[in-house]
Amino acid sequence: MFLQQIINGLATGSIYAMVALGYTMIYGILGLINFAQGEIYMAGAFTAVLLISNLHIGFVPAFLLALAVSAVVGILMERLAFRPLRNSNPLIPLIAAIGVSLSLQSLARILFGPNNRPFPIKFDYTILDILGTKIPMLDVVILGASSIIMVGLTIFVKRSKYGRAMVASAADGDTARLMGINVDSMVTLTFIIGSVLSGAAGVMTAVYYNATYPTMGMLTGLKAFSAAILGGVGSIPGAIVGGLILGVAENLGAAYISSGLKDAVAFSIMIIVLIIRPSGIFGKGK
Amino acid sequence: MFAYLLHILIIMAIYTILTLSLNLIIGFSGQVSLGHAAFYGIGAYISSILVVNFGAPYGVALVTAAAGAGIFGILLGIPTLRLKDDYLAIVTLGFGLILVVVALNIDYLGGTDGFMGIPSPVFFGVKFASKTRFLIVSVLLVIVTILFMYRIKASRIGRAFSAIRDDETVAQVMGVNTTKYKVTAFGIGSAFAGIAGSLYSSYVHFIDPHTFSLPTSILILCMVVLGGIGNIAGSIVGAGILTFLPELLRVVIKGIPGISDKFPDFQTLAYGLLLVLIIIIRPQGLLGRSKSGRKFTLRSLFGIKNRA
Repeated sequence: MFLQQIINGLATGSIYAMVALGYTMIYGILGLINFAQGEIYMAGAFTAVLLISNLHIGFVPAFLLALAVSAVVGILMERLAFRPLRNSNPLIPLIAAIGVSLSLQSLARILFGPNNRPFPIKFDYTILDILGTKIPMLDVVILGASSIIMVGLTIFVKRSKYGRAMVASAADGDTARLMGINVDSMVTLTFIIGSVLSGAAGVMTAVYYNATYPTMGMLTGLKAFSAAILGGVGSIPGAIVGGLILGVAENLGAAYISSGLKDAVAFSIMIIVLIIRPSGIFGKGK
Repeated sequence: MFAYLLHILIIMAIYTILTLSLNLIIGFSGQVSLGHAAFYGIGAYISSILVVNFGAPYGVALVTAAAGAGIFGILLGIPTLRLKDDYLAIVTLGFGLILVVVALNIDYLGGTDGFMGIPSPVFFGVKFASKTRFLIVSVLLVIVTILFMYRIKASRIGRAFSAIRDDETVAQVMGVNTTKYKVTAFGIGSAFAGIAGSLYSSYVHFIDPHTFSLPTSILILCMVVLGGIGNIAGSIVGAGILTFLPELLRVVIKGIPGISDKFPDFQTLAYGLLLVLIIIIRPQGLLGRSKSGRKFTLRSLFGIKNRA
């Protein structure tokens, strides 16, 4: 029972972690809390559901197209709402992000209706029995897929030329520019990566909970944001660890304290950690 | 129609108090709060419980609501002082969410059903039940709040706040007790939010925790930023515009044929887009002073930079 809760927690936590990576990378490079990140996640999920149910295409092409749509939404968001507001008080782009988030949510309601849509493909919902612990197959698949994506991202950022250019731009934009890095393209690249991760997380959630609805990005966005802060904002391992901790804590809280207080448990843990370590688990103290 | 107008004015007055109180925290002392609606809710619940369950006179309930919300503000302020900017933002946001979830699970507060039967305010035996009378009470409280904000901005406390906002280390070096003043800012701001909560509960006669959740906190924040952070007149304008805008959009959008059945969604869509547009055109807020003197051009809208 306990181990099962942990596995469930890791599966939801890995979804939070993927969205949190988007938050943390965008924050790292722009100092901007992109409140509309959850809406990209929603857009990804909706694209996949609509493509499969209306155009009857397979899961893999639908998944890839959903990622492409998420990336486009992210690029447009950065171009139209955030780029004009660079170098202003951080609260100002935050308001723009809130505006974008409201618009996208209502747009989704207009286009798809307020109701919940189940995922059009039925997946393997068998439950594995490993030494008496019941583990849903889906949890394992989601955990595996998100781990591959996150490890891939870490390698890309650490090893590749573009990844290093992104890190340099985040560390010091002016110096990076002097070294011949096009910081604007790196910002766009960061938004693309963040959006693709969120879109992927959205499709995975739609499969996992078998549900897609216009406001699905809101609470997940908030939790992912907390996960990013919990891990230390700007830190990639921090976002991953923060997401997993939040997911596990939430599941344990729901199982052993009260399911009604599930969200309160998650946020309480985050607040306690931050009071003890004000810059997050992996954050650098000043 | 007249009653509708009065209703908008009353809501506007309540939001003006909320915006001014958040402006004190964000604009004067530079501390970010994304959980301001929680204090609004604390005030509303304290006031309603005192009046309904204990039969307290409204004046007592109003003052207690302010004091209670202020104490909660101080309690939140103390542990969060080590945190800055985004960390503070997320902790206040989390605090707001937790309070809503907890309130939903407490039966004494009515839980998900909400708290009903809150009477209209009574001062010195006069019942302020009609909208006209209620508006008088609200406007008086708004005036008190505005005067208070101007006084405190010019006072020793206000100067300490702006010193902390501009540079906390320098303020400390100059002998400003930053801890004390940051807690004071949270306390005063929350107390005024409590007043707004008490006012709101006695106006609508019914409260439930969802009214005081994140969307309300965000709305108040938008009002502060739209008007111009730190600007008292700006907060009033911001609250006025963002209360009035949805009503205006409602009228405009209902007039467009074919979409009337989905009009709340179109209303939110237009509201969100306008918010983005206004903030891009005037990033410093409507009444805020521009630091860099940058101007809005069509080129800046598409992110094209003028190369020197």
